Amino acid sequence: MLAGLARGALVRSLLIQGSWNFRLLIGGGFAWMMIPALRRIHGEDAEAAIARHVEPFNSHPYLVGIAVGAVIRMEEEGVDPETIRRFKAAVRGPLGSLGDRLVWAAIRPTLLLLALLAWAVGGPPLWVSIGFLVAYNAVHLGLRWWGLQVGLSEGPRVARRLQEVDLARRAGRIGGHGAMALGVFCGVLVAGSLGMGLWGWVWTAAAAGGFGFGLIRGSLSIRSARLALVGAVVIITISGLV
Amino acid sequence: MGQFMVSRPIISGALTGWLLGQPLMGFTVGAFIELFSLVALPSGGTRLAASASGTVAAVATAAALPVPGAYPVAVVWGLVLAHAGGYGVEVLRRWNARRWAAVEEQGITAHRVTVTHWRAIALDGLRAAVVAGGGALIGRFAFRGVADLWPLDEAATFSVLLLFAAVDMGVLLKNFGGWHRRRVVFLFGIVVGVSIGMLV
Repeated sequence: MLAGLARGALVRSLLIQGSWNFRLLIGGGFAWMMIPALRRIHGEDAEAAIARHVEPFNSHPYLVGIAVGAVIRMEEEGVDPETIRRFKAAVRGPLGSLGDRLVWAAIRPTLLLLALLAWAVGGPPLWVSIGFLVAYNAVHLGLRWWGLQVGLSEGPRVARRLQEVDLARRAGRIGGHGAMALGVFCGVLVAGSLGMGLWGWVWTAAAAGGFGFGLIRGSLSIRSARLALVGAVVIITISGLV
Repeated sequence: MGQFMVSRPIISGALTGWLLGQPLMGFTVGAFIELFSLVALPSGGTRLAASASGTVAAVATAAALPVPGAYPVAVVWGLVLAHAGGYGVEVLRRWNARRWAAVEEQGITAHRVTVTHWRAIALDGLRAAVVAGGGALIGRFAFRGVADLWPLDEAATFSVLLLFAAVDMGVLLKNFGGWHRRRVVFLFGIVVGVSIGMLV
C-alpha cells in the first residue's frame, strides 16, 4: 500500500511547482500532491492532515520524492504531526540546494551543451532534439524514482543515506564533464572560424575576450552582454541603410 | 511539460518551427536562444526568464521574415520577451501567495487546495500564451521591414550571435567550477573540439 500511495504522489509531483509562490514556496503544491495519500491513510480525518501540510516547504522538484516517500511513511506509521513538521523543515534546505547544484548547475547544462555540440558538428536537428529529451528524461525520471525509494525505505533517516550517496560530489564530477563538453563546443566554433582567414582570427580573439569577461565577472556580466548584443544588432541593421 | 524540458528553447523552437512548416529555422533560432539561456539557474525565488514563450514568439516572428536578417531580429526579440515575461512570472507568484493566504484565512480544505493549485497552473498557462501569442503578433508586423535591412550573410550573422554567446560560455565555465578547477579538462576539450571541427 505504501509504495502505491507514494507512486501516485510522485506522478502528482510533476506539477508540484504549479502554484509556486513567495509565501509557501512549493508548500501548497506539496499539500495538493499529498491529498490522495492522506485520504487513504487518514480516512475521514484527512482534512486536518491536509491542512497541516499547507506550510512553507521547498525542494528541488526532482528530489522531492525523498521527502514524499519519507512523509508518507511517517504518516502511515502514525508519527506525531510535530515530528513530521520538523522533518520537513530540516530537509527542505538540503533538498533544494543539492538539487540545484546537481541538476540545474551540472546535469542540465552539460546535456544541453552536448545537444548544441551535436548540432554544431552537423547533427540533424530532429535527432539532436530527440536525443536530448531521451537522455535528459532518463536521468530526470531515474532521479525521481530513486528519491522516492530512498524516502520510503529510510523514512525520517534519509539524511544518512544522502550523506552516503554524496550528491554534492557527484555534481562536482558532472561539472567536470560539463567543462569538457564546453571546451569541445568552443573548440568546434574556433575551428569553424579559422577557415575565415584574418577575420577568423579577429573573431576568435574577440570571442576569447568575451569568454574571459564572462569567466571573471560571472552572472554580473550577463546584463551588459545582452545590452551589447541588442546594440550590435541595431547598429548592424542601421548600417544596412547606408 | 517544463519538468520534461520540452519548454527549453532548443526544443520549443524546433516544435514551433515544425508547426509553422520551418523546422530548421525553428531549431536554429531555438539553439541560439538556448546558448543565451544556459547559464540561468532557477534556484529559489530568482526571477526567471520566460524562455519558452520568448522562443515561441521568436520563431513565429522569424518564420515571417527574410533570412538571414530573421535570425538576429528573432533571437533578440525572443530574449527581450523572455526577460519581460520573467516579470509576469513574478507577478503571478505574488498573486499565488495572496491566494494561498486567503485559503489559510478561509479554512484549509482539500477542495480549496485543489482549486488554488489548478487555478495557478491555468493562469501560468494563460500568462505564457499571452507572451508567446502577443510577442508573435507584434514581432511579425513590427520587424517586417527591419530584417530586410540586415546586411550580413548567414555565416557572418551566426558569427555575430556566437560572439556575444561567448560571454555566456565564460559564465558557464565559472558555474562548472571555475578556471582554476576546470582549466585542464576545458583546455583538453578545446583541443578535441578544434580537431573535430577541422575534420567536419
